[in-house]
Amino acid sequence: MEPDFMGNDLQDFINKNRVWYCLDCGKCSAVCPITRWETRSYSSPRLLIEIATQGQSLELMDDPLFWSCLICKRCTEICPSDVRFVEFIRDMRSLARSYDRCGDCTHSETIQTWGKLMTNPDLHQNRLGWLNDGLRVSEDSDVIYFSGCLPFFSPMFAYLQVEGVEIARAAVKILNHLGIEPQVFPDERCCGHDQLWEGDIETFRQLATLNLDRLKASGAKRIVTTCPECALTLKVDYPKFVGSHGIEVLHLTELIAEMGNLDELEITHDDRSVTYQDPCHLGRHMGVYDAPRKIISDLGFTLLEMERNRQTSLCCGTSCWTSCGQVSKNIQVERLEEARNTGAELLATTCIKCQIHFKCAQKDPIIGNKINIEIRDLTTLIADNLSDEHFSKRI
Amino acid sequence: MDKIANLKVVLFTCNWNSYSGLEAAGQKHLFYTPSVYPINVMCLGRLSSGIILKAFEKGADGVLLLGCPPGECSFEFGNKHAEKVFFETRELISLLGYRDKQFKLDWLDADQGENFVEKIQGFIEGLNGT
Amino acid sequence: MVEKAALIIGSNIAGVQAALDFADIGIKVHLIDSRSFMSGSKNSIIPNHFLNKRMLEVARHPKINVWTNSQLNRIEGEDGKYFVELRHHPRFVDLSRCTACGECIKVCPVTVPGTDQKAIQLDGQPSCATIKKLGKSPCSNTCPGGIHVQGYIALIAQGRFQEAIDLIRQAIPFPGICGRVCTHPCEVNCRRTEIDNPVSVRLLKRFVSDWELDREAVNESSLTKDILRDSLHSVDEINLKYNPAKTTNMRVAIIGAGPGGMSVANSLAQMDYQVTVFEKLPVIGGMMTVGIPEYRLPYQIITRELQNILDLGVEIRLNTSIGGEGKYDIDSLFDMDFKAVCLAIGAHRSQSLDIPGEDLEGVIHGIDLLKIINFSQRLRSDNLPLCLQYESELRRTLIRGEKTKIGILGGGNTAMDVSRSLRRLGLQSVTILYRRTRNEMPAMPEEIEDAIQEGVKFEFLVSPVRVLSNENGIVQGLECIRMKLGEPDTSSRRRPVPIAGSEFVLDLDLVVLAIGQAPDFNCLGKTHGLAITRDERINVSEVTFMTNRKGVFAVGDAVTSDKMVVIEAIGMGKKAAEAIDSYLHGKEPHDVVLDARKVPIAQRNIIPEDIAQIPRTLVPCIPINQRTSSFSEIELGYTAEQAIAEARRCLVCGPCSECMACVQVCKPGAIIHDQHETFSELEIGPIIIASNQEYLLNETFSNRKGVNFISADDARLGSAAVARAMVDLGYRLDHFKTYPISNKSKLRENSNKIGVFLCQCGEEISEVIDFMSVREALDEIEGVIFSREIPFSCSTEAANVIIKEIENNNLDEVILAACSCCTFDQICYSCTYQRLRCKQNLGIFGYPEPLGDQIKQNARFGLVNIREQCSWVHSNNKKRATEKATALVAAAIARTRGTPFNVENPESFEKSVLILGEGEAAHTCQAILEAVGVKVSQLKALPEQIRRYGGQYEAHCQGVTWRASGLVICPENIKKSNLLAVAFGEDRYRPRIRDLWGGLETHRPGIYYCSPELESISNGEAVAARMIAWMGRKSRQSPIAPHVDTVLCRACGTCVDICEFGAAVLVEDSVKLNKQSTWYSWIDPIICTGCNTCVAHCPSGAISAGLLSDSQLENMICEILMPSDLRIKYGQNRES
Repeated sequence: MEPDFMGNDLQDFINKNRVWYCLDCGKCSAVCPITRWETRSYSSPRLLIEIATQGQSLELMDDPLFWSCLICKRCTEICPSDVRFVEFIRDMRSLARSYDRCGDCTHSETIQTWGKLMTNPDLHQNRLGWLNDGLRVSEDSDVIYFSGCLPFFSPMFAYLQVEGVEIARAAVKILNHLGIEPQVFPDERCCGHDQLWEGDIETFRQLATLNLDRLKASGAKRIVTTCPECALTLKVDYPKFVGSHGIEVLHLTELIAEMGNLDELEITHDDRSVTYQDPCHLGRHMGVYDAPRKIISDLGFTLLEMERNRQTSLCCGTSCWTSCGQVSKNIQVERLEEARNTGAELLATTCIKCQIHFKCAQKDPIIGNKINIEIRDLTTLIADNLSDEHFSKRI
Repeated sequence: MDKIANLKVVLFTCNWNSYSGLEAAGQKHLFYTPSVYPINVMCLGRLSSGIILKAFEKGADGVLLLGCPPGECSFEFGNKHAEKVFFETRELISLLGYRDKQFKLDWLDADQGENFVEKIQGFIEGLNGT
Repeated sequence: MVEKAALIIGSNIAGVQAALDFADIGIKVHLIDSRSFMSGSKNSIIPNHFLNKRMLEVARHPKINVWTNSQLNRIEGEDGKYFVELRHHPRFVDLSRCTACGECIKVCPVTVPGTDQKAIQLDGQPSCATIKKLGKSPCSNTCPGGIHVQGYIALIAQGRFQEAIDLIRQAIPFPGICGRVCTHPCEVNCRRTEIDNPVSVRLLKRFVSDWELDREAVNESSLTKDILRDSLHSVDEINLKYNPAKTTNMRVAIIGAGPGGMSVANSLAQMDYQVTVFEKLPVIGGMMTVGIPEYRLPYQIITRELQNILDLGVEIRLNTSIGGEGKYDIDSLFDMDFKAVCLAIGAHRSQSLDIPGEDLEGVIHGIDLLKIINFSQRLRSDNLPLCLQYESELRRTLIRGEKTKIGILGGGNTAMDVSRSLRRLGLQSVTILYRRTRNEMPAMPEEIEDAIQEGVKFEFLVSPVRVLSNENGIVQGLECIRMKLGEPDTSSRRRPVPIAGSEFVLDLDLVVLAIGQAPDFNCLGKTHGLAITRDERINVSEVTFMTNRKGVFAVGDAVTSDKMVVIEAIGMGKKAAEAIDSYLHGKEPHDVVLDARKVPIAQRNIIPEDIAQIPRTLVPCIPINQRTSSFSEIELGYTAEQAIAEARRCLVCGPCSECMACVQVCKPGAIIHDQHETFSELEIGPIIIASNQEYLLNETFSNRKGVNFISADDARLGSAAVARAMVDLGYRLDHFKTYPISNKSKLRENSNKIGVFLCQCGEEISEVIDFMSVREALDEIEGVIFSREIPFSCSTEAANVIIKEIENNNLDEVILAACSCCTFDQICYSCTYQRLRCKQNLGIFGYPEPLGDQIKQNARFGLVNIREQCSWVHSNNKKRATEKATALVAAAIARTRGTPFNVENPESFEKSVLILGEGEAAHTCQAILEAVGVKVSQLKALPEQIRRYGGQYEAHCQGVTWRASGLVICPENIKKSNLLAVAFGEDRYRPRIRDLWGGLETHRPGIYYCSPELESISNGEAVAARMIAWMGRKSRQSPIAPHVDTVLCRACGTCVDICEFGAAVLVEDSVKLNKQSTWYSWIDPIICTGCNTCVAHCPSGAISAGLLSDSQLENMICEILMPSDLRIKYGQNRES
C-alpha cells in the first residue's frame, strides 16, 4: 500500500506538501544552513517554492539547493504556515530521476552501490562479525537491535577513526545491562533512508520490502536503533510508503530514558564537559531532545549547550552521501567552531553520520587545528562507563 | 569447465606492466578463458571501492586487479594506494557475503604473457570452486 | 630565422636521446642508421619494454625523420651549414603497409649464411619486415630468360617442387625444354665454381618439370592433345585454335613457331592479345623440333610445353608459310587487321661451301638431314603418312643403308647431332671433318665427348677441296687438303692455312654440310622491304625490336648471328613482347637494358676454405653401350633426393633468392622486390655521430662547428651534445613555435551518430570472430548508424575510407575495433609500430596533422583491441570470442560516448629555471640555459622549504621566495644534496632519481638532478638539454590532468597527501565568504602525469578524471557484463 505517494508530477507534489501555503515571509531563508554558504547563486527554500509554484520544474531541479538541501527540517521548524519543504524536495527528487538528474555522489558512489547490492534477495551477508563473546543476543527476544550500516562504515571510514561497530557493540552491551538479549539479523538490509530522500524510490522499496519480511517474521515487539535515520525510516516511512510491521521503533536513547535512571545501572561517573549535537533526524524529525541530555547528565558529564541547540540546532552539513562540497564543509566548520566555543572537551552526538562528517571536516590541513575537538557517540560514552561484568537488573 | 564458461570476470589492468602482460599473451597467441573481460586504466591507483563494487553490482562473478609490482609503478605511488583500496574494498564485499577468492589483487611484470595466463587461469579455477 | 635540421647518426641509446631532446625543443631531426632496425646496443642494461617504448616515441615524433638502411654518402660545408647526401638502401618492404604478421618469414626458404635468420626478417623498430638482398644473384642475373634461378633452387632445396616449377613458368614457357638443351649461362656464372664446381641448375630445372609432368600425366586433359593430333593428319593449312576468349581485340601475327616466336606468343597472350602464329612446317617448335634430335630433347616435352601456350588461347596456323610461297605477305597481314607482325623465322637456310660438286646428288645439308631423321622418328604417333614419307626419303638418302659411308663437314652442334643420330640409325662409318682442331670446335665439349664415345670418327685439320662423283653423277668421295693453324682471325680462333700438296681423297657415299645456317628470307616474299644487315640478318633496334617497317618486329636467329640458343630466343621473345605491347599502346618502350643496370649483382663474400667441398650430383644416364641402339633420352634426370641434395649446394648469393614466396603470402601487399637504392640531399645544422661505424666522418671533422662525436650507449652524453650544438650554432628557444595545444573540449557533447569499423587484419581477426553477428548486435546499440569491415585499419587507404565515412555521415563518434587500443597521446610498453601508424594516419595524436585536424573537429575516436585481447587468445572458442568481441566493442562505444570535456589544459608557461647549488656543473648549466634564452636564477644558499605552488617551483630562503618553472639541483657534494632533499619536506615529496636515461631526471616533473659524482661539464650540459626539452614538450602536450570542481572540493587535502609529484596543491579563494576564507585543491596541469589516483580518493567526488571518468567506467562495466542475448533484446525494446 502506498497511500501517501499518489501523484507523479510537480502539481501533485505542490498540493500534497502544502506548498501553496508559503507566505513569502522568508524566515526559512534566514535559517537555512545552505543559503548562508551557497556561492553559485542566491538560493533559499522560499525561492525554490516560488520557482515551483511558477511550474518551472526543470529550473527547480537544476537549482543548487535542490540537491544540496540537507532535509534538516530547520525551515519547516520555523515555517509559520507548515509548508512541508523537505517532503516536497524528497518527492521532487524522485521525479527528477526521470529527468536524468541526481545529486553528486560522494565516495565514488560506494555507499549507494552497496545499497543496490543489498536489494538482491539471495545475498548472504556476513555482517555480524562485530559480535564478540561478551555480548549476548538471542533468536527470540522481543527486542531487535537494528545496527544499520555500522559494520560497513568501520572499514569505509577507518581513515577517519570513526566509531562504527564500536557503537553496535556498545548498544548490545547496554541492552544486556538492561536485561535485554536482542535479536540481531544476519540478513538485515540498509534501511533505505538515503535512497528515499535521494529520490531513488525503487531501491528504497526493494530494501524496505526485504527488511519488512524479516521484521514481521521476527515476532519481536520493539526495534532499537543507534542511528536516528534508521529509526525514522523504520518508524515513519516504511508504514507510509511500503507497509507496516506493527513493531514499535525507538532510538536507543529513547529506550534508556524510558527504562528509567541510568544511575540504577552500575556506572562509573565521568566528569568531563560535553556539548551535544542534536542530529536532525532525532531532534526535529522525531522530536527527541531530552533523552540524550538526560543520559549525558546521568553519566555525570557537565553539558555545555552550543549557541544553537534543540529545535534550532545546526545540521552536520551533509545528507544522503551527495553534494558534499565547499558549502557542507563551511557548515561543518561553523558548527565545530560553535562547539569549541562552548569550551567543552567532548562533542557528543547520537548519529554516526554527524560523527563522520565532522571528523572529515577536521582533516583540513589548513584550519584543522581551529576546529579540533574530540567527537564521540553517546552510545559508546555510556558503554565506556558500564562495568563489563554482566548482570541484568529489572526495573 | 562449463561452469567456468558461464562465469564473467572483470579484469582491471594498469596501462603499464600488467597491460603489457595482457598484450604479450596475445602476441604469443596463448589461450585463456574468454570469461575474462579486461578494462584498462592508466594506473590501478585510479580504482576506487565504488568502481569495484559496481562491477559486482552489475553481476561480475569475480574482479581481478593486476598492477605493476611494488616499487615499479609507472606513477611511483599508484599501486601503493591501489593496495589500500583493495583491502578496504575486500572488507566491504566480504561483509556483503562475497568470498575472498572472488576478488584478488596481483602484480605482473612487463611482457609476462605466460605469467599473465597463469594468474588468470588460477583466479578462474579458484572461482570454479564457488 | 629558421634553424636548420639536426642530423644524428646511429639510432642507439645516445642517438635516440639526442634526437628526442632536439625534437622536443622544436628542432627538425634526421635520425639515420645503416641498420634496418633501430635498437640499443645489445649489451645495454635497459629492459626491452622501455627500449621499445623509446624507439616508438622516436618513430611517433612529428619532428623526427627516421631513415633506416641509410648511410652518409657525401658531406660538405662548415660553420654549422652542412649539405649531406644520404644513400638509402632499399628495404623491399613498404613501411606503410607491413603488419609484422611474420607470414613471410615462415615461407622464406632462405637462411642468411652464417646466421639463423631468414632472408626476410623482423627485429626491433620499426617493426616492419626487411629483406636482406645485396642484389640479383649472379645466376639469376645472367639468365637471358630472366628466371629467378636462385629462387627455384632454394625452393627445391626445401622440397617445394610445385612452387619451384611455378616460379620458373612465370618467367619462361619452356622449363622442360630448357631443362634439357639450355646452355645454362647461370652455371657458368655460379659462384660455387670458386669452391668446386657449379650447381647443376639445368638438371634441377629439368627435375621439377619432369616432377610436374609425372603428376599431371594422370589428369592431363586428353582433349587438347587430340586437337593437336587430329589437326596434324594432313599437309594442308591447319588451324589450331583453343580457348580463344580474349578481352582485348588487338591482333598480333607471329611468323614462326620456334622458341622465339612462341615466347612472344606466350607473353602477348598473357597480356590478353589475340595472337596468331603462322608456321611453315607441319609441326610447332621450329628448330627445337627440326634440329634437335630425340635423344637430347624428346618430342613429347616440346608438344606439351607448346600445348600450355595453346591453352592460353593462341591461334596457330601450321603448314602456312607467308610471303613468296604462301598466299599471305606482311602487307596482307596488316590488311587482315593484325596490328603488329613479329618475324621469328629462325635460320633454316644452310650456308653453302662454294666448292665444285656441291650440288651433286649425295650432298645434303645437315639441317635438312636432321629434319628428315627427326620427322621420321617423331611424327610416327602424330602423323603417320608424313612420317612414312620422311622414312622413305631417309632410305633414299642413305643409298647403301647402314653401309653408307658418311662425311660431315663442320664442327658445330649440328655436326654432332647429325653424326650421333646417324650412329643411332646403325651407320657404321660416320666421320666428322673439321678444318681446325678439337679445341676450336664450336660444339659443346660434352657433345664432342659423347660423339667420340658413340663411335663417331673425327678428322681434324682437313678442308674439303671438291666433291668427287662417278659417271652417273653420284657422289663417290671427297678430295680434301690438310691444314695447319695460323694467326687468329676475327672470331679470335686461329685461322687454318692449307699445307700445299697435302691433298688426299676420302671415299664417301654421302657428304653432309653442317657449316652454319642463315635466315631464309624467301619465306617473306621478294617484296618484304626489310633492311638486312651485312651478316644477313634483319636489322632491328635493340630496345624496340622493331624493323625499319612500322609495326614489324623481329626476334631470334633472324636478327642476330650470335649463338642464339633456345633460352636466348625465349628471353628476346619476352622483351620483344613487352616492346610490342608498348608500341600498341603508344607507350615509350621501357629500356630493359637500362633497368638491369640499376639492380646490382650480389657480391657474396666467399672465403673458399670456410666452405666445405661437395661434389656435384651426377645425373644418371643410359650406359654408353646401349645409347647407339635407340633414340631414347640419354640423361635420365635427378631423383627428388638427388635434386634436393644438389640444390643444397647453392651458396645463397642473394641472400634473398627472389623466390617470391613472401609476395604470395603477404596479404597487405607490402613487399616490393624491385626497389632500387635512392639518394636524398639535406641541409643540416648540428650533426651528432653516435656511431662507431661512420667512416666518412673522421675525427678531423669533429672540430667543425656543431659536430659532435659521442659514444653509442650513453644517453647523458647524447643530451650534452645537444646542449653544445644549441650553443655553438646560437639556437634560441624563442625561435621555435610550439604547437597549439589540442583542445579536446571542442568536441560535441552528446554523440548521436556513431560509426563502427571492424578491422579484419587480413584474416587474423575475421577468421576467429564472426563479424556478421558482432555487427548485428552493435547495430542495436543506440546511436550506431552503421558498422563496416576494413581489411587493414593501419593502412593509409583504411584511414581515407574512415575519413570519407566521417564526412559523408557526419559522424560524432568513430569506433575502430582492431589492434590499436587507446586514443591517448602517448606510447606504452606494449604499443606497436602498426598501432602508431594507425593513430598517425587518423590524426589521433595531439600533434596537428592535415588529416588529424579535419577529423578532430568532426568526430571523437574510440579504439579497442580485439586481436591480442580476443581473436588471438580465443581462437579455440570462436563463439565465445565473438561474444567477447561484441562486449568489448560495446564497452568502447560506451566509454567514448561518455568522454568528459573537463580536462585541464596547461597554459603555455614561462621558460624560467632555478638552479640550486653551485660549482662547475651549475655554472655550465646556467651558461647554456641563458645562451638559449631561458630566464635563469641561481640560489647558492640552502633554502628552508621547496614546494610546487601556482604552476611554479618555489624555494623559500631567508624570507626571500625564488620562483621558476623548472628546477635544477646541482649540489656540490652528497651532503648538500641530502640537505636540499630535506627542504622538499616529507620523504615522498623528495625527488627520487630515475637512472634509466642517464640519472638526470627525478620522479618529480621539471626537477632535474646533477650528480656531484659525475663529470661536471657534460653533466651540466646534459641537464640543461633535458630541461629545455621538457619545457618544449610541456608546451605542446595534449591535456591529461583531471579537473577539480571547486564547489565540490572540501579542501580536505587528501589529493595533496597522495600526489608525490606535487601536482595537487591547495589554493586560497580570493573571495572571502562570511569572513571565512575558502580553499580548494588545484591540479597543476604542467606536472600532472595523469595517473588519476587523486580522483579515486577524493571523498566528495570533486576531482573528475579527464581521460576516464567514473561514469565512463560504469558504462563500460555495464556493457561488458550484459548477457549477450539481452543485448539484442535491449536493442529491440529501444526500437519499440
